[in-house]
Amino acid sequence: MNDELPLLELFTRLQQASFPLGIPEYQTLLHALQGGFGVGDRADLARLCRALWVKSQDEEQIFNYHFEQIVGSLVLTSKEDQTTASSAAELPPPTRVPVRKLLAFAAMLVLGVSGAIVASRYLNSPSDRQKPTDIRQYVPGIVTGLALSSLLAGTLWFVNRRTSAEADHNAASPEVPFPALSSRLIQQVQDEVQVAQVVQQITHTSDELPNRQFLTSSEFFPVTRRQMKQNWRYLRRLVREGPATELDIEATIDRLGRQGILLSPVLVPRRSNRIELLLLIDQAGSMVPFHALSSRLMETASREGRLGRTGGYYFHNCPIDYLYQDSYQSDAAPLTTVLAQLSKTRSVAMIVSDAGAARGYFNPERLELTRIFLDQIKQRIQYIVWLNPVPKSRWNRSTAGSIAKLVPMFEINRHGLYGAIEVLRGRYYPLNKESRL
Amino acid sequence: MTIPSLTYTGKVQPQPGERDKTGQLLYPYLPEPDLVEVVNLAIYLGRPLLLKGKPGCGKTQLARSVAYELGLPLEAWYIKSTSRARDGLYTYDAVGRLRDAQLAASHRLTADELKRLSDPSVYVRWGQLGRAFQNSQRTIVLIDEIDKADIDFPNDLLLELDEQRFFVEELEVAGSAQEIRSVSPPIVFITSNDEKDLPDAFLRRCLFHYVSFPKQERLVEIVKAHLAASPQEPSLQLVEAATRRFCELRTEMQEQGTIGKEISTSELIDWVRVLNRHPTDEVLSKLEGQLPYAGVLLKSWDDHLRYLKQDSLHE
Repeated sequence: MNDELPLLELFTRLQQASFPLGIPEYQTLLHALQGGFGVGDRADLARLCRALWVKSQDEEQIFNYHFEQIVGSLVLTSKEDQTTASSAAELPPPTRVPVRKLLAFAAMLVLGVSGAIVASRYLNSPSDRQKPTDIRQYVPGIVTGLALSSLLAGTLWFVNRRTSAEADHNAASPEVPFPALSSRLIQQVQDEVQVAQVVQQITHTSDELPNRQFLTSSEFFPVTRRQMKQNWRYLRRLVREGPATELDIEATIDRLGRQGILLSPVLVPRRSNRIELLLLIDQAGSMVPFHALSSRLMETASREGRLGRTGGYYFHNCPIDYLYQDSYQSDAAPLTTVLAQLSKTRSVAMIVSDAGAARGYFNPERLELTRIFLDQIKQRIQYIVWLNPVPKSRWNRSTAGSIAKLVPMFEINRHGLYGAIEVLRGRYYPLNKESRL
Repeated sequence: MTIPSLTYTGKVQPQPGERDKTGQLLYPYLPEPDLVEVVNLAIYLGRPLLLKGKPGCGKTQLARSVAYELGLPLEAWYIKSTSRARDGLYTYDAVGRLRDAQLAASHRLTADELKRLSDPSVYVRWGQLGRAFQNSQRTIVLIDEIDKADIDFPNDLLLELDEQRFFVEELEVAGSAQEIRSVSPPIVFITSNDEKDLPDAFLRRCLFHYVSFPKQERLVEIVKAHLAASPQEPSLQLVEAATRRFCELRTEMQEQGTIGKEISTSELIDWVRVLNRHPTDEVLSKLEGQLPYAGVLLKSWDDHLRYLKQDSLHE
């Protein structure tokens, strides 16, 4: 029973990290273990768990992290049998090993040099091995800086070696990097080992899990990816186009009635979505915190929205004369050209911008520019909505409140996105002009 | 459960030039040891195996290879954007039945035909999963490119994959829809190109494996194995040189960002086949200079332009 406990903890942790796992999945693992899978060594076990519980490459990184924490290091075992090791387990070493080696090498170099300098400084004994003695004469500041940085590098390296040595008993005993240092320095080093450990823990987790921040925060987005996709699918304007493949039952029965016998069924083209979405996204400035959200909107609309066509453009604060085709705003397209491509019947526009609500003050110039732009685009197409990532309660007393009187504006959450798409489909939305009174 | 234990080793390969029942050439398949293990796990647990990976890394071929080695029938279900989950189970030819009813009403059918038509199951056409469920032998079902279908498609298959049974609404047995239960659970392989996310409920029931792109040495083996059947087998030198050049080009393209299509194994094989038409020495010298037959590898105009630009920089 004891053997099952660490895996149970791993399972619980993965479940908390929002892996799609249920009790049957845990039972499957036990079943597989009984069947003789994954019992060889640690890498075997990791492969088994990965096959059963990990469903994407992002999740694999989280899994590796938790597995290393609970069961033990993956990197060492995968290094040993690299020829047969899983492709997945190979992912971490190529990036980490050279860095570690490089760090160790650099630390050795700096340590040797600076240790010698320090020694020569306190003992006043010239040495033939030490090159930088003349540097010391000219720039004593550099020397002290060098010594300090070498200390940090040295301790980092030492901690590195120590943790890897702890994990791997078979490895050759680590070389002790201190023989050249005086006892005073060793005391300092021991203090700094603790600091370095903390630093390393932080840097370790962060470079181990570049996506972790992203993945946990994805939970707090007001609209999940799947909800976005579901909402995009409401955005439809269906037109029958293409080859006739669908059975028209009414027409078939009608023909049957006329001819008295069924010769062939009546087929009609499938209905396909012809709506064209123009997605205008405010980028940079106060919109920086929402870049992930807006790029997600863009991605879900263009890849999985099943829309007739999706055109995405970027602007800053308010579109004036030009729109940009890339998020870095380097590839410009004249506003008039973009608007000329819109179809009066099929195109709809969605603007994603905080409209000044993030900074929270009233900017009459911005309002005026936005009004001009909206007038321009309203001449071309009928349905325009504005999505605002800032909560509705903060729109008043900023430019957003006034813009919301010009165009239907919705907060970005599940409800807001649904409302916005309803408007794009043609639902009447009363612009709240009376609220000014 | 008295299912004979099946173990896939990935070592049994078809002979060069061997063809399957439909007359298609069979090619050898060289899986990584990991992949072999996860296949055995899927067979043992009876769960569908979801394979993801870059196009051209051999996701689809795996099912064929497993079917060949284990000597099991293979049902391949290629998903289209219009596929519905029910298509894989069965389709009911309602129009055909209506037509026959009309013909019967105007006395144009023989007695034999009439007798046959009184059985509604004549109009049921079984889909790939439907056939696999009814086959007394364990069947391998390949659901290819599941991400092409509608986002609800995978969820619609949950009951069928989980409980290994489904109902045929059009056929009535004792007042309710006929139930088809699987005789021996099929081995299901599902491939996805990651164009759409799959729902969690579906993922939960699958085993997942990411098929990585083969390394250079393995690519050489793959190309050699594929071209072993060709009338003129390429020299090892040529295959190695071409593969090296191919890998260089691939990493170059990856470093510059993925604007165009990534080049894949099948293109390499085609390329080596074209190169092999020339004498080895000539090809080796060609490979040193400009990329010969670039059209086989570079499929988008952007890639081509970028390649040409880079090449002029080298000179």
